[in-house]
Amino acid sequence: MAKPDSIGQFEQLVLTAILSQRDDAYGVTIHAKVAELARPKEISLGAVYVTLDRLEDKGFVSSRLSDPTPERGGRAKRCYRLEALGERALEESAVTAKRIWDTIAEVWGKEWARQWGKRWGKEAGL
Amino acid sequence: MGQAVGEGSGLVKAPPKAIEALVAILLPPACREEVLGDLHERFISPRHYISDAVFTVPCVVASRIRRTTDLQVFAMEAFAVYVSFLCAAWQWAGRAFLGEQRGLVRLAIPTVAALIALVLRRAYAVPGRRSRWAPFLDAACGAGGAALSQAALWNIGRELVLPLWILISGGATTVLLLAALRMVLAPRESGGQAGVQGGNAAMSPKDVTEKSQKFVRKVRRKNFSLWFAVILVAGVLLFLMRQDAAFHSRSGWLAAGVIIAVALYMIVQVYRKGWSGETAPPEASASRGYYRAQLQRRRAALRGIWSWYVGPMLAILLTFALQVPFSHPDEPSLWTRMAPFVLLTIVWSVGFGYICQREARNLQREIDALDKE
Repeated sequence: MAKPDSIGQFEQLVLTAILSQRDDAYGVTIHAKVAELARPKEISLGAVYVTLDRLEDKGFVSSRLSDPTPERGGRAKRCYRLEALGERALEESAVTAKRIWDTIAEVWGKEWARQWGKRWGKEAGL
Repeated sequence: MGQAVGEGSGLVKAPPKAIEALVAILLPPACREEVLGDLHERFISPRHYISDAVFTVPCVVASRIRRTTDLQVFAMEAFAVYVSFLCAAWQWAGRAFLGEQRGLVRLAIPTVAALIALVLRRAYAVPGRRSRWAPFLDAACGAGGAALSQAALWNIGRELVLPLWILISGGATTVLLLAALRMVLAPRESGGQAGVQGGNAAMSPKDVTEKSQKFVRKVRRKNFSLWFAVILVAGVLLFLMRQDAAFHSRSGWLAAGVIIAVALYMIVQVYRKGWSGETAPPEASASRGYYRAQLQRRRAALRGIWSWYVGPMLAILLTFALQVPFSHPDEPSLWTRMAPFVLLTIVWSVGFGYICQREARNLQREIDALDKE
């Protein structure tokens, strides 16, 4: 089976944001979701565009222009969709993240992991 | 500041028209529509809009440059522009200019400026709209960039400005060479979907045929550029050697013979190893196996690029570089003066070899994606 390109953490965030937005994944909504996922880090819209272009080049996502809307000054949106290769890459990185979490919990204890998760969530405003 | 636009019963705030127009100018046309729309949608206040634009536009431009720049073509263009100015300097100011007056560095300034102009022109091109005069306009744009750099230097540091005749003849040669390169190697249209197919659906025979034909055309264009570079380099070096009486010795003729022999070897090798333009019967060109074989062939050629292209090219350039001080035993300083040329040659070879290896890896990914379907 062919292996997709490995993806970085920011690419994972963008792919997750596209996945969560379903049919409404375009620059503004993707950026909002990525900013939410990456809290407390600040994320610029430009960084999201650069990553979207790179993911498109790798064949992880595809895009199309939608119809123009008045709230955007009569301009179209570029809507993104996750492709099979992107889904597989995201799946692989989610499995890896889960393994990392399980290993940490195993070494430092389940109670610590529970408390740490709670504390980090609070700090991140979740 | 900020304009209220009537929208049904309420008022929608919109960014000031002048600022929006300025941002529109700075954005490449290929992504102007969606980026302007996104910035408009995020508008809160003019200050927020400006800060949003300041952080977004450079990223968008950089990404567009990355997508529209083919590194192999870029390396060829850099080589062509530098060689143009080098020949002009050799012709009008002689060898002394290159060593004694920081000539190699001075020649690099218009080269870099021309390349920046070319890269920006490609990034700001309107997708799908390319006239038949585009190669000449691209080339003129590159030469214009070179001229602008000299005009700017005239005000900053005149000691780095090239003599007028070198600039004019180098610029004219640049236009000719770049136009020829651009005619053979059309720029990447979007830069998207490079190499890897990530579609959900398996390719139909029609898709396979289209991709196969497109790939063959691409390989053919790239091979033309390889031929072009060999002929250009060998031709220029032989011309320079012919101009200089010191080369008209036994060792000079030997070096010229080596250059011609290696250049001929490279031309044949490009045909044998790099050419994948054999015509296939219509039913074969629609088969996945045929397309896969094309990809594999190209991948193998790129993996072995050092043995049939980069290595021999390095040999040609080093033969010339060594022959220069060897033909002028009365000028021992020539050994050190040729050092930047040798260094540049090695850097180019390593860089070009790396680009080809990277392309081979991309092809491998495409083969994997094809196998997966």
